[in-house]
Amino acid sequence: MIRFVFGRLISVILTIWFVATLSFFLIRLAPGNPFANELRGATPEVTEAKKREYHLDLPLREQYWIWLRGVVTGDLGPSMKYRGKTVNEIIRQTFPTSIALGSVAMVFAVVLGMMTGVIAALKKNTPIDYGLMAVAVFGISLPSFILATLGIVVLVFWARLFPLAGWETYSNVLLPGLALSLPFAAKISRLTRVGMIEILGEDFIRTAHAKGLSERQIVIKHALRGAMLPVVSYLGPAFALILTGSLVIEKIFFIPGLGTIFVQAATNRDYNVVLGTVVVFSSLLCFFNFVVDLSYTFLDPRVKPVSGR
Amino acid sequence: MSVLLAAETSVRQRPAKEVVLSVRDLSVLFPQGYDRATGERRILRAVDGVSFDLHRGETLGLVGESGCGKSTTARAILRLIGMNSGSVKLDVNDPKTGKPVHYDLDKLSGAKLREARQHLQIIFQDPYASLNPRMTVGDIIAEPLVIYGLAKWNERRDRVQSLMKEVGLDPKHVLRYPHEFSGGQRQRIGIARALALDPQVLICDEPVSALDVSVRSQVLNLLIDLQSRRGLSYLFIAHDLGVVKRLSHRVGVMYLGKLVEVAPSEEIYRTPKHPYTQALLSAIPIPDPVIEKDRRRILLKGDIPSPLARQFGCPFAPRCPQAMPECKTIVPRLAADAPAHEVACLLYPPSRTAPASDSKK
Amino acid sequence: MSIAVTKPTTRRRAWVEHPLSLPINVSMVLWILSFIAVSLLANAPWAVTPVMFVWLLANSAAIVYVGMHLTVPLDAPRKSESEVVAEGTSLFRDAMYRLRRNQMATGSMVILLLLMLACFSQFALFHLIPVIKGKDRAAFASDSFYALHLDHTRTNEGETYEPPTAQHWFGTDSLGRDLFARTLFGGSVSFLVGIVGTVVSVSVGVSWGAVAGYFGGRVDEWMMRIVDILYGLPFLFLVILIMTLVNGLGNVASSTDQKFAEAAAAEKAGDTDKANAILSEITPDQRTASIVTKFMPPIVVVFVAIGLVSWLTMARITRGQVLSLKEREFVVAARAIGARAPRIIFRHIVPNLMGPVIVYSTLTIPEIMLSEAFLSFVGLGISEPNCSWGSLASEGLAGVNIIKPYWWLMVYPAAALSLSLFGLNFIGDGLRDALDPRSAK
Ligand SMILES: Nc1ncnc2c1ncn2[C@@H]1O[C@H](COP(=O)(O)OP(=O)(O)O)[C@@H](O)[C@H]1O
Ligand SMILES: [Mg+2]
Repeated sequence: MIRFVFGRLISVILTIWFVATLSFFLIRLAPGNPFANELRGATPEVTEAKKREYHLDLPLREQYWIWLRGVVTGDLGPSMKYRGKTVNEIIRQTFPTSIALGSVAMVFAVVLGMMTGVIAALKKNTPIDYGLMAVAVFGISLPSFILATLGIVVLVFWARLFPLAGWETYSNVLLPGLALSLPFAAKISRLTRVGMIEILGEDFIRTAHAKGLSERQIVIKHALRGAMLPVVSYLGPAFALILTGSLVIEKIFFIPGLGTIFVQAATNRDYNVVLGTVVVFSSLLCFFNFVVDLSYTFLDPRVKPVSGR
Repeated sequence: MSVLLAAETSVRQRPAKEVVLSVRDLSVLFPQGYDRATGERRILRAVDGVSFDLHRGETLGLVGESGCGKSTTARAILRLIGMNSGSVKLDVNDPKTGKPVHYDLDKLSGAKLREARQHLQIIFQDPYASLNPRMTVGDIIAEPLVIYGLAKWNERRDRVQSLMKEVGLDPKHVLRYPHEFSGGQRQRIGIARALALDPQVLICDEPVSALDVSVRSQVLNLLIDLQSRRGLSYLFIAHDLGVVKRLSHRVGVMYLGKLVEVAPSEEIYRTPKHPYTQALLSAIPIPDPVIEKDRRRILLKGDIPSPLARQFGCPFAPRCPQAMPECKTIVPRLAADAPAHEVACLLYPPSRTAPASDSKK
Repeated sequence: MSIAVTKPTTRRRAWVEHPLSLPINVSMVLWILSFIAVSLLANAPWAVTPVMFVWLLANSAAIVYVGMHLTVPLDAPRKSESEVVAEGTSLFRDAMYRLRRNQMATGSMVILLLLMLACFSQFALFHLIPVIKGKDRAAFASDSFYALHLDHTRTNEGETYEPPTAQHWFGTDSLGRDLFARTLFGGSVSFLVGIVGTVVSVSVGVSWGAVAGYFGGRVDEWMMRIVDILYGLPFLFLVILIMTLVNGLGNVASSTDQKFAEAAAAEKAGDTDKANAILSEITPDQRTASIVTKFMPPIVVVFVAIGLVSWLTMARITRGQVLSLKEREFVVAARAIGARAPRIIFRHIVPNLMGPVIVYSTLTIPEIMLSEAFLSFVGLGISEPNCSWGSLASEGLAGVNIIKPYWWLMVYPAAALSLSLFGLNFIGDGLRDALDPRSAK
């Protein structure tokens, strides 16, 4: 087990390094530079001075080493667009927002999805099942930005239930969170239903019935555990998709999150901010996937930690 | 060699004396991780030094409680799982030339192994699990023909249909999927698939255990039929002696990965020697109420011990009603106590001889 | 729940058994291939004409195909049972039969095919009509059918933000372009992204997962380690960065191409000095950008990048299934009858994965279409003058406000997108039920 955890940690670190390096060269290869607008028409000396300030005059390889050393020591460098702010500061300000949005969406997705999925599986081929699955298809089919727009039009403009946009009160997080979570809730619901129906048809469930266990006991003790597997293995990608999906939601609801910052920085070529957000996001993602993997090995006795063999 | 003298009596037609399948000291070990307390590697001895011969046209029954390593033996013989030691030899007649061919199954791999498997096929225990639910019956039965390129596609149809007829299936159902059949019919499909290659040895791994009692005898009759028609040799595995009795010429009894007794069928039912065999036999219900009433039932104490546990002496000793002190220390050897009747029990003097003196080759 | 022995049903002739099936299937394949070819070559006029003819042919064949399959009576008797044995396609046959009986799926299929045909026809006619008539696109009269309903590039300053009318069925956008034509064109792009991306993702994912799961041990360990590492990548972030790079290159390339054109014009006018002066201004970097963009147009990068993102889950799902499938007795049985690894994987294991694979592929097509919409929404996917349903909808989103809602800009593309995603999901469900006879009950 320890070897397994250790091996995974190493691959997590390698992954983050790989992503960071790839991003570094991708964004540097893109034409343009952070000061293209700011220094339009400035003298070459001014431009040079500016570049020197951010080490942009050095060969790319040296810039890379300087930046990598910074990352290892936890310093993501200064922003090139926002005067006098470091990337660390920017992330510290926006990260909690993104996390709050992401976790609300994740919790919504799992709770809603598992509940409806189990209900649909137990009421297989009844109107309840059909209804729930139709709603699920609806949730999957609608892109979140269309859902969000619908939500805004209906709930904000028309019913005036929610504040328009921004990020001040708790109710601000509900609508974006819900809009972000619905497609994932729908997918989790389908996965749960399929997994559950499959498990309910297996021999050992029939044995359990034969042993006289009640329906509730069977569902909780046996079926749910088996049905969880596909859901759990979906959580990793779902988390990644929720994180990236928040880019869109943040844009629609004017939420000052990490995603907005990232897209802006990419278009502005604010190199350090782009790379900083990438590093933070991939660390988060890797950590989450790691946790999912661990729980997967606990849930499924057949999957043994690979490196422990 | 006593085993070679086997089959002095036979249920039906007397089998020939040629050996088609010869298994020596077959062992299959499954590593089971590490012991938490001692840190030692735990090893499950699923099959532990099993030796026997199968003669042409003969049925050798293999019985034992579930978990004693019968299926593992079967699969190791077919090389479907790796064996840790031992040898398996197959002597068959080439179907085209009629000349004898010899295969050292334990040493083969790749194309040669595939060639050998053509002569040695298996029927599985679970007729629900052993058929691909995504293939039609026709495709299932035709598959071996396709793999070995035995029939062109236009002949294949006829071959499949005649095989289906032979095992008692309606050739009209060739396009159906396995789930559309009953258990007995599915087992017939499995038999047809095994027969498609025209094998000479058939390993039947509890072919009727999963079936309803009512269809068991139909399938058994089919197997007996096929044997007399095709001259097949069967290694017939079952977990109770009652089923084996119907069609075996000889019976081997397994306990915890070891063969404890091998004898001609009638003898083993009349004069079982090993205490374990006696216990097993006493558990079979006998239709005759008079005999049934007088019978002495031997009740075994305790459960079958875990094959993981380290064994000293006779594996049956902890449960044996006639255990002696030395049973815990000396490993009895399978040896002939009477002509063609082998037993591995210290109650019989030949079992005490040192293994080296009797070199089984 | 219980495995009941189904009573024998009378076998009926399935629709794929139609005598014209084979030629029509071939033309369907042609259709898809030419679709891809057209899309890739759309910028190269020399390739357009012959490809377009194949295209139109295949398009009409596809209409016949669909029509015929939907009209062949279901209860036509089958050929004699024994004749079909050797063909071995009966699983597919029966699945199609069951699919046909699923009204939701059939309905979705009809709607989706009509949508696709409409979109692809606009795509074809838009390129083809000017070639046939020998006219420039701009030369068509502004009230001609072509200009009104087929040309998605024609701008009209006098008709910006027109609501739907008899002339502009879906209204017009901020540049006065006809939204009907743009919606159809956007559909082609969206479908193309979805189909190509899914083909990439499913074939890579299933093969990867099946091989890893079947061989197990070291092979499995390494293959899955790679998947894990790729999983750890915030892929869409990388795609965003790639698109930033590609779009940046595209901008550089288009300005460079303009300079090349100017130089060529000057050369033609006999002004060699001016041409040389312009050419000498072009830096090597700009030259490289121009060449790279020729070979990898941004739109192709979108397909490939998104397609390569989504095979990981497919691989994982497949592997998980294979791990348990390969212990099943029928796989052992297959080994006993001498089957080699490829046969076991692709004939015994993969067909038994079909359920999850089909279900997941149907989730993948919309997912990929959504990823594209997402990228376009952020402003990094399909860029002008191309468009997709995603980019149209996000353009339309800007028009949603309380004061003056340009609702049509959002509603039509969004409705088309949602409708096809609905349809795809229903077809996927129908296919799952059709392929798994046990779950159909
Ligand atoms: N693949 C395997 N890995 C580990 N242990 C196994 C494996 N297959 C069988 N065993 C063990 O080997 C023993 C013998 O099994 P088996 O041959 O199936 O018994 P039988 O067929 O006589 O009921 C059992 O204890 C079983 O748990
Ligand atoms: Mg067994």
